[in-house]
Amino acid sequence: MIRAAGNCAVHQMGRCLLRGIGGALSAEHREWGDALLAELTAIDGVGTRLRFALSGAWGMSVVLVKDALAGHVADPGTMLLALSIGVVATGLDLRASSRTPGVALISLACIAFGALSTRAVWRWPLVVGGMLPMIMAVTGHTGAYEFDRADRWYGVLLATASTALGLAGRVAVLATRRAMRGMCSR
Amino acid sequence: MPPFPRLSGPAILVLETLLREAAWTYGYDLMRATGVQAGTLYPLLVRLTDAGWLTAKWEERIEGGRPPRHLYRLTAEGRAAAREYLGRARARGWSPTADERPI
Repeated sequence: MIRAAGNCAVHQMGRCLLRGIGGALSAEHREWGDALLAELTAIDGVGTRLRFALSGAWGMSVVLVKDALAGHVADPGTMLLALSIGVVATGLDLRASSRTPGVALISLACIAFGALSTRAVWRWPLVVGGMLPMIMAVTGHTGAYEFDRADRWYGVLLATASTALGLAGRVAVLATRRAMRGMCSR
Repeated sequence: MPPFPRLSGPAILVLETLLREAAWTYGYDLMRATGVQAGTLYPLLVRLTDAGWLTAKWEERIEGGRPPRHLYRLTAEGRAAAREYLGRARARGWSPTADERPI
């Protein structure tokens, strides 16, 4: 009886794992989670079933990660541009005697990204503005930020505000166009 | 550019088995026939389906009250592509017995 209870618990563990991963998949791939769950009923042996569930959950987690990335890194050209701008702005900030060139670059770039590339727009503050703290952490070169450690995050705030400004500008332009079209059609 | 510029050994094995089977196949049966574990097989089946090489359906007649299972079969495009990839793999010296691993 204890053995049966143990087998049942192991079986349920496998089912819960597959159900959890399956539920997290994109709508396009969700039925694959159901397919793995249904396949469990055809497998004899608790150990075999658990191995199948673990292996299947691992495989589906790979699909899950690919799905998550595909939605946000599907435009590699724009991502590469944002990364490059982040690196250049960081270089300017750490090397130049004034913060102005770096600030100008981050602001203009993020306004443009916010206005023109709205897909997963949350990326731009992180990719452009987050380059400074990241490069400092990796290289150990702190420049003028050696003493004021919180200040290195200014880029993220600036990039967030600039992206929001770009996005707001886009919304305003689209709303104006719609209003103009409405006026002209009357 | 083809959806799969390169295919791994397990992928070629799965394609070879699907090509040989021709009929609708269950995922677990495919696993047992190829020796490819679920963690490798199912992402591969997802890729093949997304590329249009494989079609999947839920079984219609269910016995014993168990849930319907998924069935898989190569599409016409998939069969043509599988033959091409298998031909190239065999030309490079690949053979199914070299990659088979019993579960």
